[in-house]
Amino acid sequence: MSYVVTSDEERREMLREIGVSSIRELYKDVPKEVFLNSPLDIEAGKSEFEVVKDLRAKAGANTIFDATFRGAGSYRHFIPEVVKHLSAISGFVTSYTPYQAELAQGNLQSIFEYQTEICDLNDLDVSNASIYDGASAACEAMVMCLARNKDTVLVSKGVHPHYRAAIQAYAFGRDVDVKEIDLVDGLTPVDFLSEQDLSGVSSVIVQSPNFYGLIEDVETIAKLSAKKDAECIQIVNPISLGLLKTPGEMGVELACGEAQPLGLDQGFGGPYLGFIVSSKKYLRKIPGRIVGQTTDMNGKPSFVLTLQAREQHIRREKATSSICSNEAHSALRCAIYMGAMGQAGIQEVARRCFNNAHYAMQRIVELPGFSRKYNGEFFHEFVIRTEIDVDTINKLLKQNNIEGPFKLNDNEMLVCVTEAVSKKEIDAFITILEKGAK
Amino acid sequence: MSLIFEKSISKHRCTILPKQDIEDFQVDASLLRKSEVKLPEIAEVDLVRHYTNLSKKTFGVDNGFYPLGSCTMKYNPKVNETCASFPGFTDISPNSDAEDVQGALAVIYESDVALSEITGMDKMIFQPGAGAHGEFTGLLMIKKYHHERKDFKRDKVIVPDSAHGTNPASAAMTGFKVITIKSKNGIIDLDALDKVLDDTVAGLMLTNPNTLGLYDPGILEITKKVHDCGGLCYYDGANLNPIMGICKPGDMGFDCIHLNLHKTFSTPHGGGGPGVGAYGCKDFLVDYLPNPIVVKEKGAYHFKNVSHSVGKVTAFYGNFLILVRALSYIKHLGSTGLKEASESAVLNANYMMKKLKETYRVAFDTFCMHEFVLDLTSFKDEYGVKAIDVCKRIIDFEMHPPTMYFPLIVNEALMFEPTETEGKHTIDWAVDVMLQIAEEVKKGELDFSKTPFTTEIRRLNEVEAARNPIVKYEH
Repeated sequence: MSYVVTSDEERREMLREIGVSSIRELYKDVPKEVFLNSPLDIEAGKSEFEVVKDLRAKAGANTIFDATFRGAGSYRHFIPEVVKHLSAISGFVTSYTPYQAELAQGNLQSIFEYQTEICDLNDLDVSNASIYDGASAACEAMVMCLARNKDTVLVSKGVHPHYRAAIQAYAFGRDVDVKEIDLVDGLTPVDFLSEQDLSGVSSVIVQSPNFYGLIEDVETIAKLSAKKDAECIQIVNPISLGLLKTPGEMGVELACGEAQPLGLDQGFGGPYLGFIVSSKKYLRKIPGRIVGQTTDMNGKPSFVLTLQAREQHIRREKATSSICSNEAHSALRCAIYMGAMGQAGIQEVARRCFNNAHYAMQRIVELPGFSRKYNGEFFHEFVIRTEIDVDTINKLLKQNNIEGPFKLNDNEMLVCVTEAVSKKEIDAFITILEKGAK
Repeated sequence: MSLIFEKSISKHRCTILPKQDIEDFQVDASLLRKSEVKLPEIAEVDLVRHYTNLSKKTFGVDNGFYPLGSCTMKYNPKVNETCASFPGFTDISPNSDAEDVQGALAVIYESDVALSEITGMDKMIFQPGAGAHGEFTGLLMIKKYHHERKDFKRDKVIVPDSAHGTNPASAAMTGFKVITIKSKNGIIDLDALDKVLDDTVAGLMLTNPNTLGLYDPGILEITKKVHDCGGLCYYDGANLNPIMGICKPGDMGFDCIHLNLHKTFSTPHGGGGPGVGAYGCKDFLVDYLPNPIVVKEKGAYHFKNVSHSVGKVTAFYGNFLILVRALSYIKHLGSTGLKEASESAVLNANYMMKKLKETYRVAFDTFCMHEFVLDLTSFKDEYGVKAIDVCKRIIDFEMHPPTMYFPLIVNEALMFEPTETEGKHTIDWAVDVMLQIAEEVKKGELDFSKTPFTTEIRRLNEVEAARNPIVKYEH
């Protein structure tokens, strides 16, 4: 059961050719102190049928909710069926990083198209082929901006707490000092930047829409940061760009984020897709793979991995990052999604997220005992204060096969409403909240 | 082939969304996007043809032999894809309550138990996105471990010159100075190691078997020397494939490890990821792991935060759906199958090397593990044919070339890793291809600088691509 092809007879023939009598002899360099004398303590191999049964049972032990109001960094959206089918074509699935361009023009072209689409969505000029996820993308963006005597990073507390934990980890690695900016009414205070001495600050990291769903004044933050020679890094939900002002339009030169909303399964957290996109000035500093267009020996337009002088296999300890395998297949899937939704579709999805969330918010705050915590404009998430315990609410919702909002604390919850819930489902959600309050 | 943007026609689109049932809410004009959203406008049938045709121009393991050294391009079983596509796995949020995702936590827990047993570690986690990210995580933990012990002077990480490029790059990302030591006969030179070991060494990064396919017989002495000076030993598990069920990195003296589940554990490479950088460590490092870890208590699975965690390296629990594939593989192979896979990987590599070594020079002529390296210097010197020229010629035979120009310590290197999922007939065929190419080189009738001859696109201008980068389509 090991997908080994060779028959016993062939194996004997091969050993004869090598000139040994057993495979054991080939392991002559393994010291006898470490050579295992007993089999691994792992269950005996199961048939394919039994494996499917085992894992199907595990999948069945998870709850798939009819509707969900939980986001907080992972979002349920409609995924067109065509996305699943096309991304499953085996050439895409079973190929390696396209080192041999002659054998990988399809893969390379798909990445080039992905880069273009991410640039266009953000109104910026350069995208890499992908980073592990949104959190690691934010970290790599932070690293891109580090410079001599610029070893402090300002991070808004509106940034997803998991991303902030990752930023702290990367900063520990690089011996960078992280200062977190407290929020005022859920938003990053812009006057903070004008008042501070930012001489040692390399970047200011904000998320918009932020963790609490609020739309930050990124334009002003970018302007103030630039004035003090610090880079404003915007973490952005790419779906929101079908509606909201883009990083490029706001003067941001370095943006990043999690592209899971663009056609990737929630999949218990991965695989996802981190993107990094920038103005031209970061072309040679951006980490990871980049595909470029060129011509072949006959002058035919073609695609190739380029700017590899930044990468670990060439530069080793002087590389911009150690990333090697990235999330190419997720990028392919996002590109197919962006093609399927198209210009009109992505705007509709963003619009519907906004509409559905605002409809739900209006209905909730009409209920006695529920109010909004922050006043600012939001995209598809908002914080609700409740007099009843969030756990109690979520338990009631669960009984109706609805996944309740993300619990911030006993009396505050982050409600997410995307286009993947219907008006009927939102109304059912409201009715349950209403009942719970009584 | 034309780009998707060139196929875009105004108002063409796919029909996906249901009817809108909630009215438009007003958005303040200052918040609105004003620029055009330049995504393609394309009907579903045209989208399907575009990507289907791109897939035809992408060579995967399903298309043919792929002996890319150090990448372990084994067959990716289809049953794994089935298991990873169950809605109970694809349609659950990482923010769900633990009681609603017990099956997913079971996948993480069982993978941890199995991989810990295979490697001799005490705990495995799956948060890192790929191998290099596992290295990064491990080095962060090593740094934190020394710092917590107030041992701040340890700022060096030792790597051999045969190491994967990710090793020194990850060490630099974690603020360490990289000390590269020269190999001797393809393995660690113990004298060279002695010279750099002192109380400023944080650790050693090593892959064993190494990138030459050699198992270092001095491994116990190496790890002991590092431990004796207070350093930790990190195992780069990119080359685990030949040793499952044979020996364990934990027994060799390694303290922590990463595995590339997209190599040894058969999950597909996806054209460059997603992989899983499974990361494991011995008990004394568990408290430094990225949070949270999964534990089993009273018959149920729970998340638990450890006390001295380095934080997080990705937002959630890593590439979970890839982990499902790896667990499916482990369950199918079981204890005996895993060992059989390793043994066959070693058998195939030695068989292929033996059949080639009268014609090509093997860089280190001894039994190899899962891979071996050829040195084509004589081709270059005598016939002007470089390793890359041979690789491009290989493409004409619809075989993927081996890894070229790596490891760096071998000139004109070609690194072959046939893996265990290729039969003798395929290796015999590949050997015939290599022998024919050697004949062609010696005859001198072909212009090798113009290989490959049969592909639509041939020999791309990489210099031009880097000098005047075009990294997106201009509408």
